[in-house]
Amino acid sequence: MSGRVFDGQIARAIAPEDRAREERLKATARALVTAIRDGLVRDGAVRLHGFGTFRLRPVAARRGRHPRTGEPIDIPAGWRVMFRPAKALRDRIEPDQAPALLIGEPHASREAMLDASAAAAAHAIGRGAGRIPAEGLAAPARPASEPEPGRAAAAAMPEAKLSVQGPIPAGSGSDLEADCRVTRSPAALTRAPAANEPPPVEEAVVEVPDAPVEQTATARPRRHGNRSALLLLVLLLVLAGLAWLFRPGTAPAPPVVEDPGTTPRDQAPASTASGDRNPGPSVDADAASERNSAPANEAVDTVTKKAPETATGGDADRPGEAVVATDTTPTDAPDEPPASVDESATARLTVPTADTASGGAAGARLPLPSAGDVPASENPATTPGKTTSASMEASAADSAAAAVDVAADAGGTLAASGGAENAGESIGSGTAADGAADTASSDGSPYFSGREYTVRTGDTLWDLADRNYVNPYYWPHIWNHNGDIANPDRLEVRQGLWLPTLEGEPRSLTEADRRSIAEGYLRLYRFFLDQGDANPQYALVGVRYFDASVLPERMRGTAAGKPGDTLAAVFHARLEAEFPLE
Amino acid sequence: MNKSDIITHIAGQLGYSKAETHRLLDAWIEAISHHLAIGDRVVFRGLGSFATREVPGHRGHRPADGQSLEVPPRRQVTFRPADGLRVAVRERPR
Repeated sequence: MSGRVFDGQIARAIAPEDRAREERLKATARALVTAIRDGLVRDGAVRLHGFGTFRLRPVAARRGRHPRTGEPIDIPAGWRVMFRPAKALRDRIEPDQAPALLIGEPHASREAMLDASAAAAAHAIGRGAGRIPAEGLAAPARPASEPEPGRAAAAAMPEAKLSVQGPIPAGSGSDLEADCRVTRSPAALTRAPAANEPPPVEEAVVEVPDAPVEQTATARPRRHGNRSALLLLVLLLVLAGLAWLFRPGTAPAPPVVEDPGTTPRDQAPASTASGDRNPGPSVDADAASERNSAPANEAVDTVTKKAPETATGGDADRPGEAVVATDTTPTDAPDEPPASVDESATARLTVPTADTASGGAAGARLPLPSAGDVPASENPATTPGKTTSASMEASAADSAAAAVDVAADAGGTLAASGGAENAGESIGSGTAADGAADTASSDGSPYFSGREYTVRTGDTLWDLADRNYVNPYYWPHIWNHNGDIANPDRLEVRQGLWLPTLEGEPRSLTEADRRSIAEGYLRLYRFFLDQGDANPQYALVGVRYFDASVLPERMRGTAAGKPGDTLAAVFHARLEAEFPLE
Repeated sequence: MNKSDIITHIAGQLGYSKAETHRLLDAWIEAISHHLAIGDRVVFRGLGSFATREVPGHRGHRPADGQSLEVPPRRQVTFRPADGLRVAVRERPR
């Protein structure tokens, strides 16, 4: 008992009274045929997920016989098209064998569809049709008084795949569109799938009206639940936003009024209650550093206390990162694989380029910021082992937290965080800072006066330069003043460093600064050379960029780069015919 | 070639969006599966016809150890490629 259905009929049935859609379906069918054919010819296999796989099987040449005359003929080798139905299709045509579907199983709608099929079939039989009509989906001439939810669903189902929540009551066609993307309802699964063979008439008659009632009854609460969950989420977001809004206003006040020991603790859960949505890690840090001045210990306490809490929930939080960085970066932290170096390098790239962009005037006056592009492009190569950018971003919070254990170092770390703040300021203010920079450098006091520093986990020369000199590309300056560092990629924890003075502003270095940095880069060049690096020349770009006079006479040239030059251009212009430095 | 390749192909050919093409293709798959499930033979012009066939239960044996067992009756999807497809494929170089 099998009807014969043609693709055109199916297209009409899927989109009844929608000529445009029907045409689209037909066009799709034509294109599908050619696509499958071409795919078979080209690849030998076409997989249609949820339907099946067409595959070509080679057939050897053989001898056959002419069917009429019986004389032997040679049949050449060729290909045979095989079709293997997908599991979904196999289960569908044999629902009794289908394994029980789990709640939330993605093919829930197929089961619903099956129900609908069965219902439709049953209905067709109930109407007295000898067999299921070929246009089974088309819902022909239906009595208007009697709604047929099952059939409506059956007609609507094919396109609303994966999303329809069981049969939808007739007349809610537009609703279907709206709802179809919401859920994959397991509701339909509560019913055992009916046999694919048309059930007996009595059973069918009972079943048809049953289906929609039961299913809508189970489907409704679920839709409701979704909506309320969404509402709850929105509410939570709003609450979190409010909590964050009121934080800066209220946070600094309480320590003055009440016991400072308790209030921060009260705030901690409030800020972390929103989990990974906690938007104010930097605010926390600021507040903590503000409080640092009066009750230093308590503030630090809250910082350290807060950090682990946010670390559990936060994926992008700064405190979270800080904790991760300090936890997971032992002494070998500078040995990060190159990948992470590149990563942080790209993160870094934004800083100097932003500088040059905002400081166009400075670029005209000074060669320094204008050529910011050059070290930016050479960055991945010349950067000594950096840890992840996480640790760098977290440096502020890090230094604040570190104030606990190193009480003696407290002044130093505070200065460090101050330096970080300065960095942020001068980056943010851009050109405005330039005037101030000039005056600052003209009055004689250095931008950064040298001091001792003790290496902590996660530190790199790059980071230190970034923190203290604003521009991480100045890191060879530090290396140049710490002759005991053989490998700039390797710092030891608790190792003492001398952070050298930076006389000029980061944007307007003095001759001495530039010379020192250039010497650092020269040292880097030699370092690479000693390591057998295939192309240590790029370190020379740094030398040229800062002070080419440290080079031997024959290797000097004009400035290594001009604004807009790429590293490759610099190489080609200056280093193409060059020679190792002895 | 898989479904997404086909969708890309069709979408490019007809100028539909991929999402739209995806929906249309899924509609076809659903409809064909539906008709197969209710026992129809589906004739897809240019591609071939799909049908189901009853495989009666029989005594078989497990290939691994030869133990005889009962194979339950089942239904199977059969596909008969259209002439156009057969010819197109036959010319394919080996």
